[in-house]
Amino acid sequence: MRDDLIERLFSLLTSADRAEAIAGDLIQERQHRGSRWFWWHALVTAVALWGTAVARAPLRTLLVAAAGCALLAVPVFAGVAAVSLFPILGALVAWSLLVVFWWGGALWTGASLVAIAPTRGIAACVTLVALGEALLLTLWVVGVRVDLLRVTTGIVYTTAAGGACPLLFGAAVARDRVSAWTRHTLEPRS
Amino acid sequence: MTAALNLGEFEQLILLAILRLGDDAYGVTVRVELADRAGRHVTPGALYTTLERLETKGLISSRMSDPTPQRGGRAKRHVTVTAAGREALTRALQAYERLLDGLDLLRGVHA
Repeated sequence: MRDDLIERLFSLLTSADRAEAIAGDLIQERQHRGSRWFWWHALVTAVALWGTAVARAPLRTLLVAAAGCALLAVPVFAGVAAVSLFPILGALVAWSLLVVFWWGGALWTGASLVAIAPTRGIAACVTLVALGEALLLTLWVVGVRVDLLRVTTGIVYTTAAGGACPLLFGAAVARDRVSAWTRHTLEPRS
Repeated sequence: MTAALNLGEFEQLILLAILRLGDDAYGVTVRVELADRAGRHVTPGALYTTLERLETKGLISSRMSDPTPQRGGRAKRHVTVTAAGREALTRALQAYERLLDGLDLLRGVHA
């Protein structure tokens, strides 16, 4: 299951057969080198593959990531507005609203970026996630408080950081669909 | 010609390792060969990104093998040096040879 997750992560950043071979190589070496080696090098390899994907067209990737920021700003603002406009809401309802708006928006943003830019979309999504998580970590370390009425700073940060998962999931699903559509279109008709 | 000019030292080492390994060249064996013969302990990430670059340049080609249980049912990606890769490597090594000529840097190393 976890091995499948690693292969899935690699397949976001390179072709499916390359991802299978890289995951297989790491699994083969894990038998001699151990789990710690495996997980460290799985992470380092994923970062290296992302770096290569960005280096192929850095400006275009950054532009697509910037478009992602703009797309994401709408549901983020909508979530804050929904919580702030109804102060009578309980903490659980307010947090649920944040999750729906932020994670739903992240899912939609990931899928949209891949639909807009099929070749650079995934690299742009991973760039967006890396920048977003770095920003959140910096704000948290600096001690910026973001209390939204009854939703505390810790929960706001956690919810925002968790948005990485739906964003990447949306991108992965969209890429699978784009690939399937491309295969279907290019297949010779009998 | 352009590919030969752009061949880096690490790319040359990888091409040589692949040539030495023949039909058994894939990620794991290439890393082991580089460590054993060249003393270069390469991270998987560096190797796979370089292999991808070499394949994009047309200097190597690859084929998938059958899945094996010790790899969690995953296939190996075997790599082979193409004719263009051999030519690029030969040119790069000839350049080294010409530069080394008369320097006696390797005298006594193999003794």
